[in-house]
This record gives sequence, structure tokens and C-alpha cells, in this order.
Amino acid sequence: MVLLVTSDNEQFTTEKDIVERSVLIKNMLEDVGESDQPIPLPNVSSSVLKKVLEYCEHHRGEPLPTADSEQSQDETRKRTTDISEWDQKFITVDQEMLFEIILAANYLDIKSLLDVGCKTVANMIKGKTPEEIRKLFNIVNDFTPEEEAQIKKENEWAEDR
Amino acid sequence: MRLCAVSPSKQSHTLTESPPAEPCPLPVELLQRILTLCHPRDVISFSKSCRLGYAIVFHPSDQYLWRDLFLSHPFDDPRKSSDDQNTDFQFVDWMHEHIRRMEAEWIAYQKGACVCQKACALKTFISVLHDASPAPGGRSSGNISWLEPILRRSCILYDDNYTSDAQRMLFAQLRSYAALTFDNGVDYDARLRLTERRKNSRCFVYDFRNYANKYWGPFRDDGSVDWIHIEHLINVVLLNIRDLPGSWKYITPPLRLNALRTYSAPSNRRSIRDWAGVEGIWQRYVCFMDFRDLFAFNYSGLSDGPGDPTFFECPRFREGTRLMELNLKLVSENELRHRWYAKGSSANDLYPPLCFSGSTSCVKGSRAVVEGVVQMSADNIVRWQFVSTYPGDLQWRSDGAQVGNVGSAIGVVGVWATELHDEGDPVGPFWLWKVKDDCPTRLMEYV
Repeated sequence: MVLLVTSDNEQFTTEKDIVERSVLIKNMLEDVGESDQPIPLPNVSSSVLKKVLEYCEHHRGEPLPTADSEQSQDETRKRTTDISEWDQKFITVDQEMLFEIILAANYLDIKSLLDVGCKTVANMIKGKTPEEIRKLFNIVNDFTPEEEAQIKKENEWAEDR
Repeated sequence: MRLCAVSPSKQSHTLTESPPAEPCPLPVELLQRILTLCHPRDVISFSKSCRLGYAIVFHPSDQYLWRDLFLSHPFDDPRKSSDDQNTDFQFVDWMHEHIRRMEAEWIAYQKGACVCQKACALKTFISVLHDASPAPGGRSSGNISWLEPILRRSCILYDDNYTSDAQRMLFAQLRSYAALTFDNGVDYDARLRLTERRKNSRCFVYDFRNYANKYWGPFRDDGSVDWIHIEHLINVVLLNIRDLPGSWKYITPPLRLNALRTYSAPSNRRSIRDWAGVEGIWQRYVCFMDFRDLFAFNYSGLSDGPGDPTFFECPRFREGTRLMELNLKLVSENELRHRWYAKGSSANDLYPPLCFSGSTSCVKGSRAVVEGVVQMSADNIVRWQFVSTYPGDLQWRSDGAQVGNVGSAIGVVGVWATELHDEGDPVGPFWLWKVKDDCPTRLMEYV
């Protein structure tokens, strides 16, 4: 059993083979060896860790990507923004949570979860205008009108939809 | 204009500098990762959202984003476009190359695009074909899968209002590569256009005045390939093949864009030395006009003068087509009877000139001895020259250019003529392409 402590000081007990989907935790466990010491995760809140563990539990037993397969996976990944049915349901969360999950997957180094999150955001960007993208990411338009006119001209090919 | 105030290389920046109520929490490297999963059009939209977005897209600290976008588009990796001899590291500007292609695609579909824009698009499409992955290895080419529908659906192969010689040359080069595969329209207008093309091409190919250049054949005085000439030769041969009786019309050189790929020809490269895939069996179409017709067309004393297109509108006019076979092997230079290096041979380490000899047979049963040289010309097109000597010392000279890349299945298109190129000697088009070693011998003559 592994004990995890979140940023808001909640404790989670989970099994080693579930949590080892996180390369970060796997490496920590290897470094520490057999120990009852809790593992602090100061960058992950309890609500997010709950989701992350739900993901890891569902994918329990699936082979972890190795450095070798990562290369070929990158090649075949192409622009397949397809997400499996379960993952899709799992990732249907509000936007704040989506971003939190992506950040946590990045921090905990869970490549497959990071992929699911990034693909979801990519699908959200698809076909959107710059204004819609600003809304999506909560971005303020800081271009001057002159700059805006200029960049519109720069990539005319992308204007047509 | 450089818009970025912030370098995205500092990975901790979030999207905005003056924080709105809830700034986007994703760091630059994650935004980049997300963008690699998007279509470039969406990436451009993202760049227009704010300054940092623009900086991430157009002033990235490394090539990661655009290399990933390029290869997952998917385009073929341009670093692997050559054969195994040429694996030197090549710098690729992924961003500019990608945007250049996206722009070219957009231009191809624009009704009002100016000729300069269209010429840029032509140049891009030609380079995309040259960069297509080599055929051996069995993988399909991303470049060709991308280009095929553009050529099929846009008007880029038909609008020919170009104003300069260089632009017309690019247009003819792309049309030569497409080799009428996109001109198969069955409607009345399409047929009319093809009839018109055929007439113009016959006029060009059989007009002696088009053979007054220094290098003779489909080449220009600077030694580069004359694609306008090549296109006309292609039109004449292909449209004659379509007229052949029975099943002969199905014996054509491999067409379609995949036939342009490096080493797409069968039984290519039996040895490392044979970079052009010379050795093996070749088929060859030769087209010709009856000598009296050719003479009348070129030296007409009528008021419409020589080279009058209406000459070919006469219903009695016939052109001859002959299908021959060649068997070629590489030899050393001193085994050749002719001296070949007199003109314009380039010293190219990767592609040294190759000498070959062999035999050719045609339906009349006479066999000729063939010998010649293949070399890479300065414009990176494989150039073939050879002489066929028939019993009784009648000699024919052939000059052609390989269409597409080295070892392309589509083969070599060129001009045959007499050895001496005397004024008034006959000329005509030929098309030479490689076949499998066990391909049955097929010879015929149709006049």
C-alpha cells in the first residue's frame, strides 16, 4: 500500500501497481524503497488526485509505455484526436478541472492521461475563431488594432473557413 | 513585424501578462503540446488570440511545435526523401515549409489568385513531389496523399494565363508530372479540351523549328529540361496510346503521382553502382509521322505556312505508334563506341554518369544495338541519351528526361531523331519505362 498526501493535506491510500502509472511516484518509490512514509504531492489537490486515481485504477494492468515504444507511439499518434469511450466520459469535466488534470498528469508524469487531456483541449480549439479561443482560455486580447490587421494579413490562407 | 514581447522559452509564463480574473493555468510547454495535436489552421487562430499566443507559434524557442505539426500532418520527412546514399543531415525550416504548403493549397483553390501566387504554388507542389518518400519500404507517401486531391479538385492544372517563361515552365512541369491523369473527363468540354491539347502538342513536337536549340531534344540552351517540350511529348504519346486498337491501349507507362517517387520502378537498382536503375528490361513507345506528312507540315508552301495546326484536323491524318523492348546493362566508358561526354556532363559524386549498352527489338524483327549514358543534370533531373544502331548502320539518336525522381516508374520522356540531326531529318516522341524482368515481350506497330 502507498500513502499519498495532497496539497490540501488529505491522505489517500492506494495500491502500488495502480499508482505506479505515474512515473514520478514510481521513481520515488524506487528511490525510497520499502517504507511506510507518506508521499507528499504538493502540486495536486484532493479533488484532482481523486480523478487521477480513478483513471489509474481503470487502466490498471495495462502495459506502461516504455522509452522505446514512446518513439513509435509518437510516430503513429499523428493527429488522431480520437479518445476511447471510457476516457471520453472520464474527461467530461468542467474546464477548470480539465486543466487541473492536465497539470497533474504532467507533474505526475502519466503520459496516457496527459495525452487524453491535451487531445480534449485540441478538440475544443478545432475550428474556433481567435475570439472563441480567447473565451476558451480566458485570454485578453492585447494586440493593438494595427497589429491585429497585420497578423490577419500575414496568414491569409488560414482565414477561409 | 515581431509581435512577441515575451520569449516563450521561459517555460513558466502563462498566457497573459496583465492577469484577467482567472488566467489560463497551462504553461507554454503544455500549450505547445496541445497545439501539435491541432490543424495548422487552428494553430494560426490560436496565434491570433494574444501576443503570447503569437510568440508561442511564430517565435518558438525550438522547432518542436512545427516539426511535430509537419510530420503529423502527415507530410513525408524531407530528411528521408533521398535514397540511402544521401542521408546527410539536412536542415529543415519546418515552420516555413509547412506554411508554404498551406498557402499553396489555399492559392490553388482561389479563383482570383494572381499568376505570381499561382507560380509559387506550382513551385511548392513540384518540390512536395520531389520530397515524397522513396517508394521502397512500402509506406504510402503523405506528400502525395496531400497533393492528389488538390490537383484533382482545384484549377491549378488548367489555368494557364502565366506571363513569364519561368512560370510557364513550372506549369508545364507540374502538368508533365500529372501526365493527363487528371484530364480524364468524359464530358463534351473535357474531350474538346483534350482534342485541342493534342493538336497543339502535335504542332509543337513535329515542328522542326523547335529543335534548333544547343542541346537538341527537350532541353534548353542552359542545359535544363524544357518542360514545355516534355509536356507536349507526353500529350502526343499518351493520346496516341488511347487510340490504339484492342487491349493495346492498356499497355501504358505507370502514371499517377506515385509513379514519380524515387525508385518506384520495378526491379530497380540491381547494384549500388546502378543509381538510375538502368539494368533490366524496358518498354518503349515511339510515335512518328509519315515522312511525306512531316515534310508537308514543316515546309508547306501554302498561305497558312509551315506548322499550321489545321494540318492535324484533316480526318485522313494518321500518326504511327510502335511498341518496342530494350534490354540494358551497365558497361564501362571504354566499352562504348561513341564518345558521350562532350557536352554538359556534370561531375556529380552521388550520381556519376553511367554508361550502358544493350539491344532493342521491335515488331519488324530487326534488332538494334543500343548504347548511351545517363546522368544527373544541373537542375537535378536524370537525363538519358542513347543511340540505336540498326543493321546497315542506320542510326537513331534519343534524348530524354526522367519524369519525377530518380528511378521513377513513370520513366523517361524524350525525342528520337537521326544521329546527325540534319535539317529536314525526321523527329518524334518516345516514352521509355522499366518493366519487371518476367514481363512478357509485347511488340507492336500501328499506323
